[in-house]
Amino acid sequence: MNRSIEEQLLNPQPSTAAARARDFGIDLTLLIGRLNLTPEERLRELQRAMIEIETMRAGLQRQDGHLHESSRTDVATADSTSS
Amino acid sequence: MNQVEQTLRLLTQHQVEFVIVGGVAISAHGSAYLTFDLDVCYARSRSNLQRLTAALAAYHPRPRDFPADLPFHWDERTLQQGTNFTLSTDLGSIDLLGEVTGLGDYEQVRAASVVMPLFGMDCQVLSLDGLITAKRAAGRTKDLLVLPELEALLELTREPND
Repeated sequence: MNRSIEEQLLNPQPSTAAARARDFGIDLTLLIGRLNLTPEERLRELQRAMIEIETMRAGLQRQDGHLHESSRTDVATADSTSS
Repeated sequence: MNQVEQTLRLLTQHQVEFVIVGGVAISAHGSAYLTFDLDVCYARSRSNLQRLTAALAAYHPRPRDFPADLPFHWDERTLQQGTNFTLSTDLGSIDLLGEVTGLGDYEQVRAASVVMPLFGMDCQVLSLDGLITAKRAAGRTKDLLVLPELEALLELTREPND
């Protein structure tokens, strides 16, 4: 990456789009790392993140399913013992 | 699991005319934006619809909002009857867009795209200018939130004499 781009991201000049993005809440330091990658490397990173998050989501859903399953079993057990 | 590389390879191998738009395009340009689907704008010519249906047929495409018990036929006729399709497939979520808000159909989207070398292929990717136009036109909160970052990227990556 062009060094001046890195400088612009770290210390954006007033009234530039980078300054507006920073003021909006964008973490410009994240862009430095991203701009140092090729487009293909960026997409490999994106794909890796997609897979990791989807794996995590699936794990949470399974865990949720187990919790529902065990709470149903608890209710069923309670029902059968209360009768 | 979203397999961006495999999907792009598949579409390219089948010679589908498409442009990468949406979150994957945003990411390719350097944004830290995270997305979970691959959005592509596709040409609506009959031959391209045939290539597109052939490319994805083995991966069980199905509209994401479709009830599981309703039959869905993935073929050229189905694509002819709609324009935009939000699909779940074995390769992950893929949105097929016949038109992009603010830009138009495939030809107009392609005119606003740049070629990027991705995974050994030359892929058409919507340009930063094109993404900004589309996001501004879409105007939803989620589109507007990404605009400041896109505008910063455009400013930073533009040559001084542009």
